[in-house]
Amino acid sequence: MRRKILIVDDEPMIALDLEASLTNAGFEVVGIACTIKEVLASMESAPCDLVVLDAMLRDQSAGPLAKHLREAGIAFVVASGHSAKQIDWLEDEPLIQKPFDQAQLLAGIGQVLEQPNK
Amino acid sequence: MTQEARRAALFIAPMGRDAAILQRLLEAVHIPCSPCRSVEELTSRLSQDTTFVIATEEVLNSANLQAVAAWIEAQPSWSDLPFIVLIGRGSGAERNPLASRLAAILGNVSFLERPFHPTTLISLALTALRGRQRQYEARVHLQELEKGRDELRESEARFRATFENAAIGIGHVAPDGSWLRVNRRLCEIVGYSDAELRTKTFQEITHPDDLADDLVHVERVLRREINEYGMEKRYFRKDGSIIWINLTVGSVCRPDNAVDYLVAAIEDITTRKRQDDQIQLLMREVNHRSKNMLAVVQSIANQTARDSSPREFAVDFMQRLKGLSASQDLLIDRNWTSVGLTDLVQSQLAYLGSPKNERVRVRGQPILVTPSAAQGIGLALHELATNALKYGALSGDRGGVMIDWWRDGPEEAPRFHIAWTERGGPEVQEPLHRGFGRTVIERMSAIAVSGKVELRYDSEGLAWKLSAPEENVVYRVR
Repeated sequence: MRRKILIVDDEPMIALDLEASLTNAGFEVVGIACTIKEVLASMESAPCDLVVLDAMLRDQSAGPLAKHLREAGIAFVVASGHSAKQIDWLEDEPLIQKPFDQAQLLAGIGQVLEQPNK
Repeated sequence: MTQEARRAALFIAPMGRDAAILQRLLEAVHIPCSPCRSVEELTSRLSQDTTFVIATEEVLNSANLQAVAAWIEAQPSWSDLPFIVLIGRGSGAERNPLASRLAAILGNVSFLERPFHPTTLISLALTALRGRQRQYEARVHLQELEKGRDELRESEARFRATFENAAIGIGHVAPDGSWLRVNRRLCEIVGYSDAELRTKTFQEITHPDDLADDLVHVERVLRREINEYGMEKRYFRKDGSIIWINLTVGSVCRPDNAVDYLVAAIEDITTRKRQDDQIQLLMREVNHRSKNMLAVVQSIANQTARDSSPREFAVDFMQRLKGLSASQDLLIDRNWTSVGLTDLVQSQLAYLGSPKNERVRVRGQPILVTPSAAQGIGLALHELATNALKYGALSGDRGGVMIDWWRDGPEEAPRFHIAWTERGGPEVQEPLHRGFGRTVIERMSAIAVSGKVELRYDSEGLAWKLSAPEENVVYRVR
């Protein structure tokens, strides 16, 4: 069964490209969300196995959303132009650097999905 | 008249030919001298230029010597005017109470018993003169010393003023770190009074994270491995706030070569540090934005590559980058807050060139839109225009485009609409291939404003309409 992914990025162009890449890689993209409100709405209507989360959404930190995902037990990888040091809320989630390296992105997603308790 | 020429001995010998004899004897050995007729005249003529005085016992004993005594008493420290008193036979000081009274009053006095041999008088006179000359030399010496002391005092005052009024903080610090002397500026920087600061050590007011580094430097200065050092560090002010200072330290040594005290020059650089931090923040933000923009460019490249042939790729990619770049220019103009929608539409249509762009009619109220709306709408308009040039109403000699935007819906939840409507061009059919252009037109613009797109391939022309809650599109000054 194809694993379900929600893409959270406030750049629609990037989100659509990720959607195409991940679909080609065999995932099912259940939605694209640009704001925290849209993320919550999407998670209600379309459950997912993993979230690709942009570290900044419309100049707001995605930290509270990350906390929410951890509490809900939903696995996620973080995408950002910032370094890990600059994202103070990052825990052990993989950080995918922007601009993207497709291999790094898929490796990060694979790593998270393989963790048994996620 | 030089000082030398004014100097002369005075003598009083009113009896008989004494005066004439004395004058002749002294002049014979070239001692300038001048006679006085009374003690009063003598008193009035006494000066520092008087080399010595010769007087007879009788004259002195019969006169009031109070004024002379006062003059003698008032002499400056270098001066002790010699007196030679001519006395009668057998009336030396040891046997003559009057002579001993004179000795007490006159101080530096020699008695010469009459009748005397001229040689004796002359040798006494020369001795007195030589003694007086030594006093004059001592006076010169003393004056030089006093002058030196005045200069020293002036110089000290100048240095003190420099120390006190310097525009940077200066402190003298003992090898153990206690403040010995501090200037006004330093007190202002750290917020302590002079007296308070001098009860403290520099260690006490230094931020603990910076102290170890500073102590290493101080140790090296005390061991005489280095003469000076400089560093930026933090102090605690008296009110507990933290300030950044630039510290430069030199040392002053004792004659045995050990360090006597350290001279610390202290500059408050808190403002500069704060600006540095802001620049750092800004640089990080610029880095983030540029990486994000690179990721957008990467996405455009990926998506263009998915449905352009290798031959078309370069042109298609370049056209899309130009569309993106036009929106960026407008964003920068308004400090990345918003874009005028009319400007945005014009910039995206500019590449159509004349006369094709004259076939586009634009109608809408002037409004400002948010950066993400600007990017979504801008890229959609770019793709619509490209499409119209290739296949639509701008592809032939006839046909035109209408761009309209407006708002409607209830006042508490207004909606924004923007429409691209082609008319008068070749008959239109929905294309079978759904390429990147279509994705941008249909989905990207909708995602950018969390709205909906209606796309119709009517036979008389393509019709595109983007609708979204107004708050997702229109920029409001907060």
